[in-house]
Amino acid sequence: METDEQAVAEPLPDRPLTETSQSLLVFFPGGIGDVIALKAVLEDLHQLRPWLNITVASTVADQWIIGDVATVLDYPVTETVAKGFDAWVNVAEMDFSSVGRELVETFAQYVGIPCPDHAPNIEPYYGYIEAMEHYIRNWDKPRVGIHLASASHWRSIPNFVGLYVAMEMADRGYDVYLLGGPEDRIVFTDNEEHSDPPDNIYDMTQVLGPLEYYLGFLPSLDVLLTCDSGPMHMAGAMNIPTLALFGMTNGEKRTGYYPSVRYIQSDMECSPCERIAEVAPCDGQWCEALARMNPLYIADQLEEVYRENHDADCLA
Amino acid sequence: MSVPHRQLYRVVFSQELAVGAVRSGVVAGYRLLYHGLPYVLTKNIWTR
Repeated sequence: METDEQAVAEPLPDRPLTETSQSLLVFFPGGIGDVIALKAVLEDLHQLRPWLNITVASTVADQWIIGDVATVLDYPVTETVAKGFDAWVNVAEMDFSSVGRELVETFAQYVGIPCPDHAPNIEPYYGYIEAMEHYIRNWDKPRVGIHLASASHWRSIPNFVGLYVAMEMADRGYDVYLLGGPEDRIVFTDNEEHSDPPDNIYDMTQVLGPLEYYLGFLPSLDVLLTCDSGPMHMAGAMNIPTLALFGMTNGEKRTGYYPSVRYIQSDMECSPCERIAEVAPCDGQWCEALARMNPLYIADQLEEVYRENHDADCLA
Repeated sequence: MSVPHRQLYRVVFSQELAVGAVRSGVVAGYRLLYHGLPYVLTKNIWTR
C-alpha cells in the first residue's frame, strides 16, 4: 500500500451505540474468518433490535457472507457516508485473527449483546450452487476440493505437499478439484512444456475468483482439504466435511466452533509458533511445519473424513 | 449501555492513494482513494 506523509488526520468524536440508535456503522476490515464470526453477532443484534439499520464497512464482496442481516460497504467510507449513521463501532483495531470462540465474545461485547450461543452459518444462493454444479466432471465419483493458498503465505500448504496429496487422492479413485482464485493457479509442465493437470485433477482457479462462485461451488464437494484460510472458515460455516492443516497457527483454537472441520497440527516442536504478524523464521519459502507433513498420512486422514460422512462403497 | 470504543480518524489525503483490497486470496484487487475528500479510517494507515 502507498503512503501519504502529507495526509491530514484528526481524531473524530465518538458516536456510541445507544438504546435509541436507529442506524449503526461497524468498521470492520478483517479476514473472511473474522467476518463469519461477526455474522453470528449481527444476527443476534438484529433479532434483539430489529429496528436498527446495520451496515458494515469491510469489503462489498462480504455481502455474500453477511446476507440480509446487514448492508456491506467497501472500507474506507467517506465522512459524508459515515455521518449518515447515528452510531459507529470500530472493531477494526482489535487484535483479532480468526482465533475462535473468544473472537465472537469480543464482537458481542463491542455491540453490547450477550455472546451468541450458535455457530456461524452461511447459506449460499441456490442459483450459484446450481450454476457451479455444471463444473463437476463426474457425479459418480467422490469429489475432493484442495485449496492450498492462504492470504497469509506462511499458513499456506506448500504446493509440493498439496499436489502430492492431490495425485494420491486421484489414484485412490477421487476426482480432485484445485480451488482458489486466478492468482492461485498452479501451472503444470511436462518436459518443460505447459500441460494439463494430471488425470482426474481439475483446475478451478480461473472460475472461482468471485466469492459467490466459490461459496456456490463448495456444496458440490464431498470433502475439502485446506489450511488456516478463509475457505476453511467458509466450509466450516457451511458444514462441509473438511480437513485443515496447521503449522504456525493453532488448529484447536481456530476450528473449535466448526463441527465439520477436523485438523492436523504439525508435530514439529515449533508448531504452533503463532508468529502471525511477523515473517516466519523458516529457512525455505514455506512454513517448515507444513512442508514436512507426510502427504500419504494427509491422504489417509482425508479419506477418513470422507468415509465418516459418505457411503464409502462408491469408491473405486 | 456502554460498549468499548476504538478511535476513528477523519483523514484527507494530499494525493490519490492506491489501497489493496481488504483481503486477498479468494478476492483480490485494489482501488484508489481520492485526494481532498475526507474519509473515516480506523488507524493510521495513511503513513504506514
